[in-house]
Amino acid sequence: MKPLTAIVFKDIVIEMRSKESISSMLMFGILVLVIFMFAFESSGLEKTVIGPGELWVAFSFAAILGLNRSLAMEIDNDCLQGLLLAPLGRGELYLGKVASNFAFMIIAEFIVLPVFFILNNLSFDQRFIGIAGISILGTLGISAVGTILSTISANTRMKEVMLPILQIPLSVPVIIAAVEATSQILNNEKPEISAWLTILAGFSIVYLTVSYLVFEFAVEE
Amino acid sequence: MNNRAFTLVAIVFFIHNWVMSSRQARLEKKLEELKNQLKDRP
Amino acid sequence: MKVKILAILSVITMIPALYMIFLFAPTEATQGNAQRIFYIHVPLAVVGAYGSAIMLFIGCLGFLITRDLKWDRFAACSAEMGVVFTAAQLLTAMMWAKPIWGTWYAFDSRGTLQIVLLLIYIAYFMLRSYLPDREKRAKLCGVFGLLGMVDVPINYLSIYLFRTQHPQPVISPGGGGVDPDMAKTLLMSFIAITLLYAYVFVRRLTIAKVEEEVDYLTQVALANE
Repeated sequence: MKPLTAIVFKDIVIEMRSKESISSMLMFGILVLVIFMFAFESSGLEKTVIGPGELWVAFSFAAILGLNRSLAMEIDNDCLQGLLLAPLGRGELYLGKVASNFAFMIIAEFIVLPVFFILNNLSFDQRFIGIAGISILGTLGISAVGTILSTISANTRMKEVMLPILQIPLSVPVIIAAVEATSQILNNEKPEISAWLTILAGFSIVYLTVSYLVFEFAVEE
Repeated sequence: MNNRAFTLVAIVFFIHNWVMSSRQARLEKKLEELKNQLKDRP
Repeated sequence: MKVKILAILSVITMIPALYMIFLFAPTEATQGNAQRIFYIHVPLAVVGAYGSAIMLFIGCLGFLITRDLKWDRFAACSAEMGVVFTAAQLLTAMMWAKPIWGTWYAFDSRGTLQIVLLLIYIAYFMLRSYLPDREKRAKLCGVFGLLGMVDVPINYLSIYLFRTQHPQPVISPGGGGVDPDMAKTLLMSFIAITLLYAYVFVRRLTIAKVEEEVDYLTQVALANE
């Protein structure tokens, strides 16, 4: 358990110094919300109808921005060598990276989420807590699949282009489940979201397990 | 609609087959060239 | 040699299959002639899209376990078959849906799964072309293929749930199993499409081998200079 926390701690220290990842995710997420607001302003659609889609477009694209940095940074500076030499299994390395990516994404999302509520004129009540819970589950899924995919794409010639191409098709179940759960909560209809939450949790568990097992193939030279 | 659908499928497979055979011809030509080139050397 | 036999066999079975589809099978009562697209759509989806998914999974798993490059070739070829067959199958689906449902594409569970599957196959292909090193390409593509194919059942589950919670806007196609003549026709086109798949696949596999040989010899030639 100790090496795992060491990796998370290292990433947090780097992030505290540079503040690159969180600030770019945050700015991008807010920009997406603003663009959506302008694009749909004249349509006169109900805010709660387009809201969930808007929110998850912002989250998933902002996440890609952050993930792009996380592994490319290690490979560009040849830090991956050092990490691989550290006395811990490849699986633990993966879990540590997932934990730090997840933490940064959650911090950015929890700032974007109130902005979303304000821009769409929603009141901060139980719905806010519900949506925050869903974003934790959804972000766990996105970071589980995104960390290993960013390891793969960091080895290619066009890193920034490759990650969205690989990640978006694979995270379709997360997007569907999260959007559906969010829209049920936003519309205050009798929420029947347990099935969606099961899919979100199941997706995270499956991908954490599979990636834990195959991560050594993705990093070995 | 029927004949259009079947024609489209046929076109897809013909294009793919055509691309494959031209690729094969090109690669085999290159293989021969390389073999000849390497034969001259010790 | 194997390629030629498979080519001849697929032509031999394709002709009676087409005959049975257009002339032998009875016209369906509600959908009319458009229902005949179904005989080629179902084999293309089952053999082409899902079959390629299973083969890609086997290929990637096989490579990661044995580290034998022949499994990587196998996976690459099945991904290419996946792109071609899934694209062809989506075309037939659209041509069928336009007269029957009135739209080119309806957001139903299977159609959406096919589109995601097609995107994963294309992503696998793009990843291959962006990785120059042979060993590395095999390894990373193996990992991605495995992850992508793990995604397919979860995807199906979520899309299926998505649709069943909302009212189905469409009548479900089918009813093919009722008439014995229809069943015979479907079986025949299944055989024809499977043979076509086998032919294209084996042919692509030989090309992949030649390609690798050329790569190797090019490197040797460069090293000698």
